[in-house]
Amino acid sequence: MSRIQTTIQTVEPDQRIGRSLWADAARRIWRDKPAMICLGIILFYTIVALSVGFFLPNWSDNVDYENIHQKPSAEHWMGTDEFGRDVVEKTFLGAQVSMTVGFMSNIIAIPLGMILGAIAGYYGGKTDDFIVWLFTTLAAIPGLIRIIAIKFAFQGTILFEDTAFELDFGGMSGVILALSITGWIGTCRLVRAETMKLRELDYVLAAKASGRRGLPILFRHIIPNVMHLGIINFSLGFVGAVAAEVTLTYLGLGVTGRPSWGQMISQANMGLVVGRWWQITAAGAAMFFLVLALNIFGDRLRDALDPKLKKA
Amino acid sequence: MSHNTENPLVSVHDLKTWFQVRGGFFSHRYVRAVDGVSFSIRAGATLALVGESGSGKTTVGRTILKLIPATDGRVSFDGNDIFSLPSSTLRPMRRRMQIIFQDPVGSLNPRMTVGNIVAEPLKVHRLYDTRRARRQRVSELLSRVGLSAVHAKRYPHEFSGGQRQRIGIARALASNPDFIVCDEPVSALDVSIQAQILNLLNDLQDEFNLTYLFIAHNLAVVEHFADEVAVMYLGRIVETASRDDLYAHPQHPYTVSLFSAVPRPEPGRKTDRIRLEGEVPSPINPPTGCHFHPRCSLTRQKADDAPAEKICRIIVQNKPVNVMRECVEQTPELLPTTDRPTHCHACHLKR
Repeated sequence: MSRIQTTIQTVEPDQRIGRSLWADAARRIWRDKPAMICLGIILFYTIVALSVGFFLPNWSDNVDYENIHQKPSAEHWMGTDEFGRDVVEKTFLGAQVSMTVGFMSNIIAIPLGMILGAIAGYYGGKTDDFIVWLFTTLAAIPGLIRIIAIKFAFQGTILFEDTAFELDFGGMSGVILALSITGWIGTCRLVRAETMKLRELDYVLAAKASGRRGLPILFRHIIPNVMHLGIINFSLGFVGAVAAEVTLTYLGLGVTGRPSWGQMISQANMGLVVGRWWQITAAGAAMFFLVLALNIFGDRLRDALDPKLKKA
Repeated sequence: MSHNTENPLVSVHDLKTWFQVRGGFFSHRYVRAVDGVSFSIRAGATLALVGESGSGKTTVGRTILKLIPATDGRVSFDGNDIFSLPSSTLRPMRRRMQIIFQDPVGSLNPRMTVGNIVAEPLKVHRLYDTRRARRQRVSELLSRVGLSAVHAKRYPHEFSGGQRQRIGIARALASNPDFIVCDEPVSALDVSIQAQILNLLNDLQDEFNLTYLFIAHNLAVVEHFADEVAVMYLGRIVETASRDDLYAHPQHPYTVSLFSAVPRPEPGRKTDRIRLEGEVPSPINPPTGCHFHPRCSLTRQKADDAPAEKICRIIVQNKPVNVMRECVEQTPELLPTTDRPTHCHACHLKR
């Protein structure tokens, strides 16, 4: 067999270490000013939520019947509530609930959606049919009703006998559970579709040709390539969870026994008629900035992680 | 059928790969992507599979490696029947069979470093089973394909098309295979890079005594690269021969027209191209008899002076055309020519 004459290509041994797609995305986000401002706001809420318990350990007991329903003043910037407690402090404590619910429900829902979606998309057939049936059935019920139904289904406390462990689904855990059970649907749907696309790609076939089994292919080749969808959905799902918690609490189905934004808005319902606007304003503003920051950040994150999407 | 039975590493017998498509509510129809293909490749040789898009070349390559389930047929690799092996026995066999893909972008996982990509077959088969030995092996492979050991820490998007194809080749070589399916390895590359990759594949074949199934549509590449050539049309092999034989004396009218379509850079040369009428028929509903008869110029010529009972009238592109009856009614078999036993073709009229 003859050799074709070719010029010899010298490869310069450049010692630079390669930059992964993750590092690329992190750099894009780092250079994106609005995204960084929003990230700052989200971090601020996180720090408040984590630390407020140390600063105000017994806040609920600060009852002061002399000063109920005070207007905003130099002493109480956003006035006081029906027990004479400071509304700014109450709002900070409310952030604890919102951030916990937002984080916990998504940390359960997103991985669940990703794994189920990847399994459905990769294996296809009966497995796919079952998972699609599961999420379409859930998705057929209108969002809020679905959450309320699940919340009602898991009322009360579950005690695990012989252990000190108990789960109280009445309050916050119930809200988190209800939001987790419904929150994975969107992620699952997206990841499933993306997996069906990736499954046909040559690098998956190459892994198969090397003798890789199904699960290692799923975790080494599919999941890392749909991870960006999970991250984006986490930030967008956070918004949904915060809003849903407030809605549930407003309806009296959510968090009880501790201050939350939903409660503040619900209680202000009556007060608004007689001109007590400060509680609803404080809770509304706190929620507004958090939701806005999360939305913008989620959007920017999507652009950074999925540059293909931006061009489209 | 296989003309070269001395020591075949891979032999394929009557391979069929059909894909189900939904016809209506209850009926199922099949795309007969590969419909009864047989060939064998002896150890250390290169068989080129040529044909136009949609002829089933790629499907043959993938079915042989059991990446796509076969509908029917047998593939034996070094005496083992690939399709009947349980997956636990097949997995170690996969070490010896590898594939190089056409698309240098889609064939490398963008989230993995080149080092991890090349080391994957080593991990699966527990070869070079320490981190250090693996790293050593990866840098060896990378330098063998013309890259450098420092590239192991980079990601695929940091390389050019030709370099990525080299990475794909390094991965295919990692587990010391005997047989590699090269699925149009150079079609997506610039011509100058094509030559480099072909030379590399050639050198590797000599060095490691590799057997190639080389899938291509570029006849110039095939002429340079192959020992034997099989021409496919619509899921069937219409002609097989040694390279020199095929290029000197093409028999099947499809092969003849395929060669006449190769552009020759000679100014003023009179063009004797055979223009095929019509489109490639759909493999869902292929023509009866010889798949090629609606487009074949030979059968039309012969029909002009044949007696009426041997002629059949068919409609091609809304025009009636006379063709030979046997081309429509009988499926031709791939049989050796009388003078050269290694040269097989499937044409009734050339017997």
